[in-house]
Amino acid sequence: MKKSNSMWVFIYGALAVMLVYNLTPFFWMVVSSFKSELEVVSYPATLLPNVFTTDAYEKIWLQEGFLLYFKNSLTVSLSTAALSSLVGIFAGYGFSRFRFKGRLAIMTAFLATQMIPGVLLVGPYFKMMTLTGLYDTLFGLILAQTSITLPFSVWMIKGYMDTVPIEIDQAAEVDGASRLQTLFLCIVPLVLPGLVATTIFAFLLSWGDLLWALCLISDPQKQTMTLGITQLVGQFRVYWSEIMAATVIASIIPACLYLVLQRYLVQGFTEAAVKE
Amino acid sequence: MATVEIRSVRKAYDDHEVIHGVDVLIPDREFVVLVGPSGCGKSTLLRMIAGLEEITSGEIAIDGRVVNEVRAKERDIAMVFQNYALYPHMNVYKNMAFSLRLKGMPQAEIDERVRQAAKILNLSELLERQPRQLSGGQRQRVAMGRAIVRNPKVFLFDEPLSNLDAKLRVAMRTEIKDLHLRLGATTVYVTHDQLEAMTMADRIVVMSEGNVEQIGSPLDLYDRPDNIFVAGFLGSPAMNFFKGVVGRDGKTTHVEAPGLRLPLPDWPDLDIGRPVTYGVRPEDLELSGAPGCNISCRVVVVEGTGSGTLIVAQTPAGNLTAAFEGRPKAKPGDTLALYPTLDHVHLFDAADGKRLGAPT
Repeated sequence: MKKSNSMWVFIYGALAVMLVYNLTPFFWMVVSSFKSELEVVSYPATLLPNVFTTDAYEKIWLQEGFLLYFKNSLTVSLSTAALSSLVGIFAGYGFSRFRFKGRLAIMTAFLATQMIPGVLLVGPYFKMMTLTGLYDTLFGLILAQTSITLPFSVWMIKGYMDTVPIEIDQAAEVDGASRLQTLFLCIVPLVLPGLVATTIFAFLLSWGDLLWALCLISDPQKQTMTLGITQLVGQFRVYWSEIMAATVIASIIPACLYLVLQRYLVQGFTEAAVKE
Repeated sequence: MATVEIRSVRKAYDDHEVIHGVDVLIPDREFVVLVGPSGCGKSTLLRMIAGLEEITSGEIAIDGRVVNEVRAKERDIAMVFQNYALYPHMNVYKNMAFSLRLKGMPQAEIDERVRQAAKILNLSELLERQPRQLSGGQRQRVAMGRAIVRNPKVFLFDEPLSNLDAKLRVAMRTEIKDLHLRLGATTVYVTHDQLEAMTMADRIVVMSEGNVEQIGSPLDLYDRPDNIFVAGFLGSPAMNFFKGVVGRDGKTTHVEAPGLRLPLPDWPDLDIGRPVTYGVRPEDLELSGAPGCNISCRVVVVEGTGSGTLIVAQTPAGNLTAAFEGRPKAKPGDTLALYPTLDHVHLFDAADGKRLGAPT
């Protein structure tokens, strides 16, 4: 059915409103990060900086220790993403290819963990980490975040592996491949877009985490970006331009990931439905 | 190359047995086709030979070695799958070279083997292509190429032509048979298509519901089926069957079916009144013959196949199909007298469906 002109105007109008609604916070974040501390709180607010300054960036990067926070965040997020994807590959393959007692129960349990709010698990995790000496360590934080991202990774990877015909495994086996060779030479390359999507998801979940970092890290040397940003909210003053600058920096990595890997991401999230 | 011995092999999933003690001996270099309807256990048996299914009881030996506990990759077999199972992320060359690379073979030898196999299968121009860029027939040839580069003891084919269109299937049938003649490899081929089995096999193993019904050469099975199942399964159009009892009229014996008197040749040891099933193949019905030795029927459908004609006709005991060369003058509604070639009539016991003796 052909749409009338007024219908097109309505559709594009609605899209434009949604675009503005979504992009305005980013726009405000970027422009505010280039304003002076005074201008950012001045009333009435300025749309663009009267005086363009990079003071906020210099301050957080050189004085507030955000370089270290950035490194910590990168370490934790990369490790969490890698660990949950690696374990996810093995677990997903197992759930996809083997029928064993308790398979369904374990998979359901994995799914059920996604329904428990993370905040309810903080207490037990805090206890576990202190008992094992992993409290206030990046490794402890990585383990905790992996346990949160892993069920999702396993389910996603299992779903992608289900789309690969079992005959591929059997052909590889007849060709002389071991299980590991079959997995990494024949199956993983076929689910790569899905794997990339899952890894990015785990990375972003970890990158944006505040709850676990707040509860499991107290040493300033081990703080992550999100934790660092919260410290810019003082008792008597909020350092808005610095918060905005830190948030811009924190957004760079996810934005780059989306730009570089968007092909895989879209393919990964759609291929299960359309794979031949 | 090697012999394959299947001894009293059974397969059960939990309490449900699907293969009920199968014995087959496949000599070196033979092309054996396992044929049967869907669900008869032929693919399961093939997968047990391949090592992709565990054997519940019995033994499978390849080249004299019992392989029950030997993993698929150590059995030195190659398998071609129904859906080709090519590695989609590897080009044709890499697909064919995969097994050789796993073996750690020197690159020069891999290259030589792959190119030789590609030459045999007319794939030399396609080595750089990805599987998705190939037609069904080309993919099937790559799957065969992947098998032959390894020079295995036994080739296994699991319904390799069922995804191809009819014309290509005929062409690939010839290619596979030709390949077998050139390589002389022991081959086990699974299909549900009796025509494929008849045209390709040195010997056919007919299976039904997890049992072997008969083993023999294609023509042997066609001419002397052991039971009604084999008689009805092999041949297209299928054999005509009529249930009745043996009768005698003076010196001649016949089968008395409802409303029909079906002629028989001299048949020793046939008890009068015995319930039997009378079988005659469509091509063994003629339009002329000895007086009184005919089946009277009314034509329902006339199907021209180009080279011949099929006539489906109605008798009081049920419909029958007759196949003729050329184009006989018959149209729906006509009454016909069809004469069975008495030498080619089959009789089966009505109770167990087994073949009864033979005419003299």
